[in-house]
Amino acid sequence: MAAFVMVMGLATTIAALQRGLMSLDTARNLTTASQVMQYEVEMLRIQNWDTVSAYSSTATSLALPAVFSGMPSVASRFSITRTATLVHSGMMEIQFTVSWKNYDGRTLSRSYVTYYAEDGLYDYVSK
Amino acid sequence: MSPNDRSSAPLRSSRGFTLAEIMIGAAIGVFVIAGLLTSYLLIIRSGYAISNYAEMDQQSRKAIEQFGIDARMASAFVSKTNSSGAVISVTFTVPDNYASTSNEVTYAYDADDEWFYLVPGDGSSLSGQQILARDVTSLAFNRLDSSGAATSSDSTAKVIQCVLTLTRTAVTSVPVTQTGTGTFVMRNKS
Repeated sequence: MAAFVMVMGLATTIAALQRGLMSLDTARNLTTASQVMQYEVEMLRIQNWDTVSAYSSTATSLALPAVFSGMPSVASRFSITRTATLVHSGMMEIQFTVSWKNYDGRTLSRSYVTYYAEDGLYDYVSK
Repeated sequence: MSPNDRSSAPLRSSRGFTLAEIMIGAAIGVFVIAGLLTSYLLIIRSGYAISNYAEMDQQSRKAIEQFGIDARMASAFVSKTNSSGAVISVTFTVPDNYASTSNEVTYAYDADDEWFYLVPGDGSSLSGQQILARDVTSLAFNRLDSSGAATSSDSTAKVIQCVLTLTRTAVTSVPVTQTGTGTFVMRNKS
């Protein structure tokens, strides 16, 4: 009985530790994903309306920015897509979605959404 | 029943442990204690690593946020390069925030002290220096033009990117690194 309690206690401790470290991994990956999306949204600001209005409404895979593709731990696990929707004449909704695999194999994703108007750009929000 | 009756009860056999049993028990005990100690040490090391990650994350976020505030407002900027051509500092001209230094502020990397810092002015004086991040083992300022392509010219640069890598080493813990990046369009720069 005592051995059983001890084994249960140890197993629970190790499992809790593992979950905690996994959460840390997720948080760090989320930071990286945010930086990738921040880059994309910022670069959107230097595009003109003709370019942005021609973006596809289906999810389009984008190349990771050079600064990230040079990091092996990021390049091998992260990918980014862009979806553009015409909200109404003269305004596009642009969504960037970064997906990545955690070390436990789960695929997670986060998105930034912004609006690009023919006469200006609103700031972006996390989704 | 008199007390003397106890003496008439049959003697129960009293047995100890054999040497083999004691040795097996001791071996199991040592094994369990060794496992516990190992786990304990690993948990301590993980704790240090987590603490270091949190601190590095905090510092890099704060540094990049501060850098972004000035970069986004900049109407002009000048960079300085080292002998290998890498940009080691950038001086932004921003509206109003640094009136005493002609509205100039410099962000720079001190490779010797491993600091990323800002200083009002063009960087010729360290008066008013603020250290944004410590233990920065590498830092790069990348310049991009209006098409998003890398450029080595300040005049054609429209986007500035800051990439810094921080490293922390603590007792009993392996070194941990964190890379932070921020990319900002200099909206007021032509």
